Amino acid sequence: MQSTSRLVRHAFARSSRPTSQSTPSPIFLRCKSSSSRAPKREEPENVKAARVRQALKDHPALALMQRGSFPNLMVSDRALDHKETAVFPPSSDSPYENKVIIRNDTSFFLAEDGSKEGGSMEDAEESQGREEEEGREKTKEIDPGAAEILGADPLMNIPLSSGEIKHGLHRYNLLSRRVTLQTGKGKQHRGSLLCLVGNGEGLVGVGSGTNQSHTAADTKAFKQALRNMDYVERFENRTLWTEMECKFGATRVVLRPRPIGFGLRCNPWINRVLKAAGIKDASAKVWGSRNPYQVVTATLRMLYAGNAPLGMGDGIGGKGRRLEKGSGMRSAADIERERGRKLVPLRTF
Amino acid sequence: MVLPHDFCAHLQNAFRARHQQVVVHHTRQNLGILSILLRSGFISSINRGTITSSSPDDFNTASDVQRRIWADLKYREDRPVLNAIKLISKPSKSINVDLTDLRLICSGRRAKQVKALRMGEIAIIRTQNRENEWLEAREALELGLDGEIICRVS
Repeated sequence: MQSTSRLVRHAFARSSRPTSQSTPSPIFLRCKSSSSRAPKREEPENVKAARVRQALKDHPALALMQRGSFPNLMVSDRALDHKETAVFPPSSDSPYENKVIIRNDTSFFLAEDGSKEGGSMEDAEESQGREEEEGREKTKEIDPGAAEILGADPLMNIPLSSGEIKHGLHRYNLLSRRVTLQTGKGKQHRGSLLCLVGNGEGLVGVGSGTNQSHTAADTKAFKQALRNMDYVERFENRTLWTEMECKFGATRVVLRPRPIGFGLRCNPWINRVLKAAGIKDASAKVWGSRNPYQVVTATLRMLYAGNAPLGMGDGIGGKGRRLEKGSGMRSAADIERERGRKLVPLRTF
Repeated sequence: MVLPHDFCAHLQNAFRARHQQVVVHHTRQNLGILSILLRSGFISSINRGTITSSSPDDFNTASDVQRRIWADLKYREDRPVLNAIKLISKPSKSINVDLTDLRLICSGRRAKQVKALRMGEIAIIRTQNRENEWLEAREALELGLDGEIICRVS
């Protein structure tokens, strides 16, 4: 029957193979049969490599490899299998030669061409020969779509797919301006952009970028905003947990949670921050300076749960930084955990 | 009656300085407030003792002057569980709340000059009732007792 897969039929065939023991447990049988075999003699490396190559020639997967759409895992990749090797010859302490292999220590982007040893099942000369033969293909780490958007910057490390970056993000260019540096040679104009980015589900970040060309500044700011994204706790995925206020420089901001359907009744800068974060109902008031940088920074400082960041207050790393001040917004679960008591919500709205 | 200000300040300072225990005078007021904090989970334990030791046996043999209450403070993830105690009723202006106002502040609305209780915040009320003199705002609401709103703790 065609519907019974080849694999299933194969499994049936294997299970019905006659064995030395009559006991029904297949695992027990497997162990027994392996121990009854005579121990294999160790083959030299060359012979083993030749045998592997011969087996590969017959294997259907080789066709895929030769086409170049599948990486050849039998040969070590110069970049991906980068390692550092240290060999300690026999000394007075120990009569054995010891080899230490350190992997993933240095970034493989910094690995120089051909300077590092590649450990593989084949000899170095043979592996080089194979390279010439088959034309090894480099594996791509970044989704090509994302690379295109982000300018193929390998240091991005953003946990978002290209689809999410293209379509799924709220992006607001908060401030676009021309900034000038007066030098001896004249005025140097550059474009500066403050970019706010959020996924509408709790992640939000702000970044700024400056460059002579406005387009480059645009990309810079967007990348910076993506790098700075952090998570914001939300009550019922729509509003804040509690009323909170903070003072940042000359800017004093108060944020209040509000009932369903209330909307965002607040300062336009705060509106964009909350919208990008996915907060739908809130009210806010800003006293003092309403400078956009200050307002956005103050709001984000309150929203982010930046609890005792490393180095706060000179445990190690210096003074606490103003931008990391405060414990941020805590959810009911956090408070319940620290007190060991249940919180009874009595809010009528 | 000694005002609760000194006690509140001492407790808040002890938390911010990351002390293990706090030692306060043995009075009905301190006992009442500490009991509320214990019930709400801000401190881990309270016991009677003396100036020098936190042993209840020593408390029994000590004189009134030497008696103290010892409270063990709580911390989690490098932060104190009790962040701030803020006084509401002050000598310059005493604030009393009736049941309507109490209901408002417990349910997130401002009542006259008293701001609503935020999430995780408690308020300590001193009532005229002899059985239940020191109560948390929600407990007072349940028992139907009003009084002077001393402080809010978060």
